Amino acid sequence: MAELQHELPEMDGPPEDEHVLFGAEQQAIHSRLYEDAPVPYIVGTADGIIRKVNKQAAERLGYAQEELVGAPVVSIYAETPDGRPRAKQVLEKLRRGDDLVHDEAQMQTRDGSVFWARITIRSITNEAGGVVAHWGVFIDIEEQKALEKELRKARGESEAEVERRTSELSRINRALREEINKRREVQQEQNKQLAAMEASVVGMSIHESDGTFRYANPAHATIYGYDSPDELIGESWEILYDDRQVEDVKSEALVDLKQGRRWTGELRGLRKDGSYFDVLLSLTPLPDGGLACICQDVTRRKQQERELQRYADRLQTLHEIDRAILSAESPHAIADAALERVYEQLPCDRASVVVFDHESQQGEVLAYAVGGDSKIKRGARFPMSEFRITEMLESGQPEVVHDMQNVPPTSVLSKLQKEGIRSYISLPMMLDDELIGLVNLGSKETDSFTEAYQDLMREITDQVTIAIRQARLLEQVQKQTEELEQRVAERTAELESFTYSVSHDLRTPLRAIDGFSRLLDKDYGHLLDEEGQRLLSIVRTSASRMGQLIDDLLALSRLGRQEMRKAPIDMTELAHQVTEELLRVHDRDSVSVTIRDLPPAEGDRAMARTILTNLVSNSLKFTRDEAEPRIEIGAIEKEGAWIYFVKDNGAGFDMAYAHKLFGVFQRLHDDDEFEGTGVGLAIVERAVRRHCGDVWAEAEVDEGATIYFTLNDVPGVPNT
Amino acid sequence: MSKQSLPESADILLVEDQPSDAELAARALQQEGLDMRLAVMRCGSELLDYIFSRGEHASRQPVDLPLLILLDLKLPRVSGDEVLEQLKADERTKHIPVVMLTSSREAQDVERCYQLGVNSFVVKPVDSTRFAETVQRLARYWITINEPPRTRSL
Repeated sequence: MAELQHELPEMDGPPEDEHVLFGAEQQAIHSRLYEDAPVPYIVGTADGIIRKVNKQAAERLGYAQEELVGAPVVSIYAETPDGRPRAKQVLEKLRRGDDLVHDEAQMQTRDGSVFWARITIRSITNEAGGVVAHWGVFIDIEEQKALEKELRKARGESEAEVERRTSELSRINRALREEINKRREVQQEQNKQLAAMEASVVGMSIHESDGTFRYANPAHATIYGYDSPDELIGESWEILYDDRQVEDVKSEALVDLKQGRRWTGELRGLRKDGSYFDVLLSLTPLPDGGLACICQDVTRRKQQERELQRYADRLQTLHEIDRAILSAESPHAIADAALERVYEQLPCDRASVVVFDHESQQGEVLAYAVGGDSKIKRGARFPMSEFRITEMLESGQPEVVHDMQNVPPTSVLSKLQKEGIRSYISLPMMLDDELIGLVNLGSKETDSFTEAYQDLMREITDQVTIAIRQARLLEQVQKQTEELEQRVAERTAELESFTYSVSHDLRTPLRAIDGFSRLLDKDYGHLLDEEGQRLLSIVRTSASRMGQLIDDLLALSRLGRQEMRKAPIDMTELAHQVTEELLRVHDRDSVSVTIRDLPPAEGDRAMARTILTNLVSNSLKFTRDEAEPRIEIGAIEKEGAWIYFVKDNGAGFDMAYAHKLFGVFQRLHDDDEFEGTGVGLAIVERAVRRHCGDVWAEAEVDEGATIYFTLNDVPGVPNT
Repeated sequence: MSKQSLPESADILLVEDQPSDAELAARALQQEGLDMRLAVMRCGSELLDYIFSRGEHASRQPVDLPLLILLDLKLPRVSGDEVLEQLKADERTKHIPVVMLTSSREAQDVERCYQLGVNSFVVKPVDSTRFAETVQRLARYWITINEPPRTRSL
């Protein structure tokens, strides 16, 4: 509780100034008004000291009027931030010259209770304009404030509520809008669907649980031959099928539907006009016990399918015949294979393939197939006149006889007729515009061979023709090859035998020439002069040379005929054996022979020995005139195969003649230089060839020669 | 050589249809100085007649069987291998050493002769000197080195 502090001495009566302002009367009235005014009223000095307080004000503030006079104005304000500080601000404003200030501030009663008041203070000025006093009025607005507060609070709550409601509303609104949109879309979709259903070429219908039409689109009606869906509405689906199909649907489709399953299948639909067609149905159960049906006329598709199937069958037939023909080799086998397939796949009672030999004017039955026994057997030959060869056939067109009674009989046709054949088709096999044969099909029915049948048979016949032609060519080639081979074999044998017998038979007289000329020389040589002895020596040398030649030829001949005895051969060891033997025989110790490690071979040891013997002999011979004769036997590996070689530093030869090197009697040196029969390398070549190997040479005149050979291609021995 | 000149008994029988070879062989054997009796025949049937004392040789009084028969393979009428077959098939003659002396080197001939029981198979060298040497070596081996069977009569 604030004790008012009087800053001024108590004053009696109104201030002097009032006298100045008002006359006394006026002042009295004024005072009266002032005193009795139902509004709290305070007059203060310019310095902020209370000079006057009316009853109302004193009462409100809990003071006696006189208690307040002289107290600072601020003392009636509460000691709160909205109290005295605000009062001072107001005073400050007034002091600065404002003549009227409105404000709200907290005031305080004598007992210290604080209340809000709206204050209005006006400056009172004298004539000179100086502030002489402040007039203040305050109105207790505590209640108002409380109300305001209450109101504010109430307003806050209500706003929150409003906000909540608003958002709720907008949410609902949004949801509604979405729903509306959705419904609109659904509506549109339904409209579209309906339009689509109405316009669809696919039949659509909805049925009640009893099967009657609730809805059908125009296509549905059209498919089943009705003019309008209206004709179907209220009718049962059963009118669209015959009794058998209805039973099928009931026993199959409806069972599925009752179990909640969809059913799709093909039925035979019954049109309004009584005709049938293929219809593809898809039935879906509806929750209300009804069903939705989608249907489509698949007659054309079925037709296409059937056509495709026929086409596929035909291809299959052709393919099988092709395959059979391909695997067959002889014309007989081809014709058999073709007929077997035809017989299996195309209805007929009899089928045959006949080929003509125009030279002998005969036809041969290459193959035949019959249901029952036939009088006409395979391989049977008939004069061509027995076959009914028409101009049609000769021009490459098939001849169809729908009823054999309509054509003049031949003996062949009569036989067929006796077998019960009533109609037949003959298809020409044409080769370079020439009729080389016929494919005949017979049936015990008349009019059996349709256009389609003919088309297919024509294709088959063409294939058979080509195949038979190929086979004939093949047979010819094979026959020729065999003949050639036979002739070659005969010739070779003749030649070998000739070579052998000539060589053999030559030996005896030769031995006689040699033996008796030697006896002549020995027993009668002293009777001959020098020239006589020279001539005799020529006879003897020639005989000896001829003996060598014959031996070589026999060896060559033997090599060609001798059976090969295949075994592993240690080539290194063999090379050593051969070399040692030859060096001993030829007495050529001065030759430096190097034998490398040679890979083993697989082959005929005797032949391998012959090869090495001949090659090393040659090397010995051709290095005879060398100061330092060298021979090397080795092997090199090339592309996984071993190549043996015999190399020397001897006379060599001109590579221009290398191609003649391995020919019989081919010699690249004069006899004066190096004697020889010209058979040695031919023997080598033959021995190498018998091992399926290869032999070749590299040389240079006076620089030596190298002969290479391979043995590793012996048949039956895998290449290393 | 005529049949008349054939001895009653011979150490070596040579069957050779080629007179030149026969003479070269005979000369070679003479040269060797083995002091042996040689009978040369021209064909297989003659040899068989001689051995078994039949036909033209029915009157022959054989003392001993030969110590060696040199037989050519290619003979007129009865060939060498047929002669061989008969000799080896007969108990009385199968122990007589038979050497084929022939120009043939044919494997099948060689095989066949061994099948039939030939004692040796020799190819005639073309060279006459070597031929002579060969004949001489054969004679020396079979007559002087080889121990002949005890039974030398039929």
